[in-house]
Amino acid sequence: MTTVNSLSQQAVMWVEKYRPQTLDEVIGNEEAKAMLISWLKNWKPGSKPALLYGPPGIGKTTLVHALAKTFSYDLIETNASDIRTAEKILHVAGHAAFEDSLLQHFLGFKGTIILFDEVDGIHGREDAGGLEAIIKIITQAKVPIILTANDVSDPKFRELKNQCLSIQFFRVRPPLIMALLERICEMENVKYEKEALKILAKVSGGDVRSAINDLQAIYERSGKITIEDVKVLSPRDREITIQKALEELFLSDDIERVKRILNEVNVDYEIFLQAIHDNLPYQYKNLEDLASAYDKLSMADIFLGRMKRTQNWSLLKYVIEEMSMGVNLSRKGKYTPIGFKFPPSKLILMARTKLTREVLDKISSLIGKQCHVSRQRAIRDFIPFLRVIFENNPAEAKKFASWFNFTEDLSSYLSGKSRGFIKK
Amino acid sequence: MSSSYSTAVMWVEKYRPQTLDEVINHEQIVESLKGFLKNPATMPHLLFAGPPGNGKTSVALCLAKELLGSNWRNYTLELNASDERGIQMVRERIKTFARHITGGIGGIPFSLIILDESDQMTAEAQTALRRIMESFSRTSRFILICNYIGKIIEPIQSRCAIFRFSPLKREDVEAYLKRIAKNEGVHVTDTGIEAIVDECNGDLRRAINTLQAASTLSKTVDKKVVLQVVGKAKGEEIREMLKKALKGDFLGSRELMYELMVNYGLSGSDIIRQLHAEVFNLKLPPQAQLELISTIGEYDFRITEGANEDIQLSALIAQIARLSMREGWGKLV
Repeated sequence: MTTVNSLSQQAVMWVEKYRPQTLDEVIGNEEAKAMLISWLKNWKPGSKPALLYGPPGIGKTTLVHALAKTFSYDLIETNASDIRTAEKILHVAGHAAFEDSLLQHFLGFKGTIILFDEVDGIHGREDAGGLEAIIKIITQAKVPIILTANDVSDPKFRELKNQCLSIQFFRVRPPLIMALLERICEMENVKYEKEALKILAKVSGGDVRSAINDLQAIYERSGKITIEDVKVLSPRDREITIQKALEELFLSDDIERVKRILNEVNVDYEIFLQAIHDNLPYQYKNLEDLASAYDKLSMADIFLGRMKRTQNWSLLKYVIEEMSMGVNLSRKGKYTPIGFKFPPSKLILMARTKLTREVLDKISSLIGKQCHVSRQRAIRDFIPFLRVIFENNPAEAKKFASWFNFTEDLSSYLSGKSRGFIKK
Repeated sequence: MSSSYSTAVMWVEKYRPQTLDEVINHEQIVESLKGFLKNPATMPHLLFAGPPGNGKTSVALCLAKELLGSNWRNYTLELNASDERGIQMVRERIKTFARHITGGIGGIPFSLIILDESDQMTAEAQTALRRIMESFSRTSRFILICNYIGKIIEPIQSRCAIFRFSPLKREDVEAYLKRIAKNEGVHVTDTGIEAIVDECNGDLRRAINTLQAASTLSKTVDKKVVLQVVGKAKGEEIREMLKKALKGDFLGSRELMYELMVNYGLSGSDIIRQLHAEVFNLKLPPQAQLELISTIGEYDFRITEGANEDIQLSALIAQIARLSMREGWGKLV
């Protein structure tokens, strides 16, 4: 069985082969396209950079490439798979941003465009200072800069949006996608039924990239594109819910199917790992199965840890394979399906225990002030002993409370009166 | 603030040494530091390393008092690396402090920045710290305090005079505890003192806190009372969590684990360390204990490698439960 997964091993992917080379070949989003072209034509030092945002697979990055090519610009690009700490960004892009290279003119380029792809993929923590570095570059740059993103609704992008000309991109309409699929079929000499292409275009949800990938997957499997062939195709990516993916993972006997579904599920792998971890004990009742599966999940987490520490993104495949194949293949018993829990209980737990953590934090800060220790040290070496005192000797406890400046609620927490999860 | 020490309720503060002469156990270090008092200008940045609760912070505070006199607090910035949110915060606080507080006048040789738990900083943060140290070295001196000197980057090590604080001697801890007990009118038996010293592994802070908590439970502090305190302080929950796992109750065990993490603020590594200690309190044959230790050790390693403590701890509970069911240990605990 050929899966979308194994496509990546093939020499020619149609998405690449038919990636538009000129501006005219980019389909849809005509208005946005026109805005971008006029922005570049009128660009002069001091102009705002352009921020292209909208759902994935609709041609934002492709359009930028075609734009650079059409107007003879050299393109320097960073994207989510690169390390994007402030230092790295300044290293890669800073040089190009702040000086106009003579060499480029010799090479026939009109200048340089810097593309920051998928800026919403910049993490606050791992890519320390990344966003700030980008803002620094764009406010001082001497060359045109384009940024792309799927979602910039997060408040952390507010300043970035202020600094940029925002251009919104929309999902591509099905008739346009269908026409493109038809053209590819003609070029590849693929037999097809129009009705089948119509279905493909529709279920793609306006995502051109995934529509082409589906087309190729079906062709690789059955050598033609008929309505029958299209029906075999699983629902489109964004219709695969996390529930569906979990169901496949825990219950399916078809490992290939599991791999494919997981490849397509549209959720952050860290959240997915957490969701597996949440549901696992309720699904695998047999301790043998549970322990085997957890061993694999633990390995997935180790690869995740290494990947984050070393910024070596090629480790991601092990994370995904350990958590998908590992968990699925650990099951020896038969289980009846039960409902899945989502969102992750850790998040719910964190929210539920926020008050407790705040109390602990206050207590340990006050201890730290009086006794020259960190909050961690206070939790480890003071609070356990204070609990003993507060639980057993209220008279003494009063003296401690006033010395430490503990308020009533902090004291009652230590004395165990409000032990257990503190609720509002 | 310094006056509050005399009325301090926590004995760790009340009996914290106020001068270098009162410091126990680190004679050579104290001698070297006294040398700096004669000619403060020659004092380099200092790096104090050693296990927790053996006097590093106390020595730093004593030195500050003797170098800077009665106004020492005005010229000393005390920071805890593990409490500050990132190197930026550290930099800002040091900058603000150094801008207003400069030494070199009125008998104050320099201002002092005491950075505790500096080994909690990442290598990147330490590199930034190194630059900060350089830019303020004309007007300020740093005292960095850490547990593991190996976690301090070499460029910082090479800029500091390094003082290794060895673990406190058993008899010194005993003498200190006895002195406090006498002063506070607490009756402690010899076995009581012994039990505290056994439990605290040379950590005087934990030892004093144990003594103080025990003294609020009973007029006479003997071994039984000490173990009661230690048991409570260590959390009977840990034992319960381990027992549930051994009986094959995965979900029950994990619920306790979450409670420990959230309610008691224990980290994953804390829980693993305490699980390890609890294994020896179980009525299991030595062979079984050994197998449990191997499993716990494996996950102690994994938790430092992984990204998510929950997953690693849950995996550990599952392994213990499986092992116990296979071997039939559940009936024994």
